[in-house]
Amino acid sequence: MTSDPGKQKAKDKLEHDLEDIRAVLSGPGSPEPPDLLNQAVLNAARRELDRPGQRWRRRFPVRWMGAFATASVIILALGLIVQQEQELPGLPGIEEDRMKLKSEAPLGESKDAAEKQLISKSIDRDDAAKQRVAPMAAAPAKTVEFAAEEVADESALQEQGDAMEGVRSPEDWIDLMLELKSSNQLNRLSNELEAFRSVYPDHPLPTELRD
Amino acid sequence: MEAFEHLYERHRTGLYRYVLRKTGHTATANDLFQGAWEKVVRARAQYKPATPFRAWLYRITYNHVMDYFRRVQPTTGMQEERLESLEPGPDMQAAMEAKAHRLRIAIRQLPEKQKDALLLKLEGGLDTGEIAAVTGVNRETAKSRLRYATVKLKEMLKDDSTDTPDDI
Repeated sequence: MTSDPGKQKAKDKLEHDLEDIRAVLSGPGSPEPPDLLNQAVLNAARRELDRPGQRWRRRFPVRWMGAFATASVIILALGLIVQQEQELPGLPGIEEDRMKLKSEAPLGESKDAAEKQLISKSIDRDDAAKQRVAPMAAAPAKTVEFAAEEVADESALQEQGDAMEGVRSPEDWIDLMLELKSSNQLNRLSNELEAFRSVYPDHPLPTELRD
Repeated sequence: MEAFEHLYERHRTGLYRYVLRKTGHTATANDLFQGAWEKVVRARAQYKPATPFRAWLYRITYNHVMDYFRRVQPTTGMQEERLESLEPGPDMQAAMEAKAHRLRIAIRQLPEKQKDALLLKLEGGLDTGEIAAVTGVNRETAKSRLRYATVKLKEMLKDDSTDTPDDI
């Protein structure tokens, strides 16, 4: 639609003339595709559409396959790299240990002593993990990786428990366990609770921890 | 296959007339018509539903016909056959048929670009924008070609109306 009346009139006239021409052209005797031609076209189309592999190609056009395959490989590679970084033993726990040691060290103890303790603990943890993993060397590589991760986690918990045995008072220990319960770290809480009971069997526990 | 049959049924007549009037030769038109549909089937994965099927179909056909004309320059023999096919048949006595016959001749005498625009409009039912897209020109050019073609046809028909059909 145009707002100019002159243009609109010219357009209408053109459409009218074209309509006249079309009416004359499409009168009786206008050509139609012959039946044989229709059959030939339909048969050719049927052959093309029924060709094996066409359905698959239509759903997954070949031009997308290269890009799709490349993207998949890149995502898998990145996933493996991230997974391997997470599996490195000891690294994630160091910062946590550093914070704990700072908060738990006796007042008279120097910062250097706390750092030394942290380093020796980390080395011990690595050694313990290696020793536990060593007998499994004959197992498939993936199994060994998972086992090492598991052992590292266990040994970390054990070592943390051991370290706390020498440092924590029962009150601090109970505070820590209450924090663990409030943050819903139930596995670690049960470990801590067990360790606490073995060290202070007669110390009363608060009602929240008795369950 | 049913979808294809449906599309074929809807567009076959217009497309056939477009190709036939463009070439002016029945056997060539049959070949080009069949070839165009084969190209449509093979290129179906490239069709984007956002664009009208009719415009896509005529673009493929237009390119197919143009390829043919580029490949095979019109020969003397073909010209003769074309002229022969312009002769009025024995049954073309009625005034309406004679007029249609003169109109077909007038269309064939149009410049190719104007003929393309006119046939895409008349036989394909394409609008100006679609004609522009099919022939690779802008909308105003397509509209202008359509207008010139219409004016020329009217002039030709006016001149021819004073002659007898045998003079054509």
